[in-house]
Amino acid sequence: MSPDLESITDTGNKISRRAQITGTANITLGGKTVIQSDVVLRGDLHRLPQRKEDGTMERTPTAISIGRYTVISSGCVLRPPGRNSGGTWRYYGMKVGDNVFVGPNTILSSASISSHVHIGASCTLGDFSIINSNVKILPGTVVPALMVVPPGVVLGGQPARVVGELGEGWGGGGNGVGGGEEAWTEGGELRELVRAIR
Amino acid sequence: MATPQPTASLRPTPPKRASTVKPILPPPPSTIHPTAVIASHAVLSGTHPITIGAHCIIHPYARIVSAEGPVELQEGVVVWEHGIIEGRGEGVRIGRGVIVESGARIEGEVGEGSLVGQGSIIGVGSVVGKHCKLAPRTILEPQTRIPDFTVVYGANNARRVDTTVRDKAETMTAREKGQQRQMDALRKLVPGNTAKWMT
Repeated sequence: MSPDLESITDTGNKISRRAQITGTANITLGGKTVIQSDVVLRGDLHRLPQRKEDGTMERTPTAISIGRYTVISSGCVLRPPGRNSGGTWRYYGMKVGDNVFVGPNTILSSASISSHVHIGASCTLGDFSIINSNVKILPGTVVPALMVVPPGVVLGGQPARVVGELGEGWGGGGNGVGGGEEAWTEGGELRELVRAIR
Repeated sequence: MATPQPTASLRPTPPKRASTVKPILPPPPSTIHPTAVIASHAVLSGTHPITIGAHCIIHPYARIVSAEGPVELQEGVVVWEHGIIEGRGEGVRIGRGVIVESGARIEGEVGEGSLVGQGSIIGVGSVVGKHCKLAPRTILEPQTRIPDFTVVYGANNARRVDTTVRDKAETMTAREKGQQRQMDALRKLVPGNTAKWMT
């Protein structure tokens, strides 16, 4: 671990010192998650706290929550989605699951991304898009706003279309067992990858 | 799931170290309207003048560079994080109410009310008309001309004319109203540090 580049939080998150994070109080990381350099996390774009029925203000809601063993590569932008609702513009929370790999220079504004999703480089995921688990998104894909992606498919194109389905073997193998095999696979457990990044 | 920890609580405490940032150059000669919001992590650099109009919002980590030419942002322009506006030659003018999305790079002129999608590139000397929409990841070669009310989309830069906005005044006003609400919300959420760039 080179102390200049990364810092490790209590729960084992590896966050580059050159990550560009705003509104840290509104971001939760599940642990063992990697945030590489020049990643923008817009935690300041949160839903404004509402006044509860008993007159007190609620806590500021979480803007971005990221699960365990998720890797956000350099140059990515994570920006919570927002829309006009009830006469004002509101931002909504953004959830990213476990074992998600996000390639470099990808821009995410999704409402939710489930676990075991592999997102290639230079993708754009529009506002309020929902990605179900076990999805592979090819590099350069532009997922339109409000798109709901079913589980177990391959997405590609500009705008995104389902270009294939993932078979049974998706995410299998790897896990560091079996000598010459790769330590991790797309859509599989990213524990070994997280461990290798320093 | 482990107890969520805010990223601020770091352990061990990072040691103090010398900054690797290059020596800070004097800020560019800029005219900034007092109602504009410029985040403290936004960067304005260069030697040519930068003009920022009323109610503009420059998000953190956006860059406005006037090293090779002046930049003018008219009223109500929003530049999102990682967006870059570079002045070239005679200068780059961004019209009223233009939204420059994350990761877009602009080196040409953009007309009033246009939307430049995420990761788009507008080449040197290009002119984008009024109320245009560039879909995410659109790449315009240098010297491209896009007429008013055009939508540029898809992998092959297909074009069509947005007749709904062109012909119906109420659509245009509704769109402007929606954008106005977004700007009002952003003004509350984005911490501004405009004074830093006042010269």
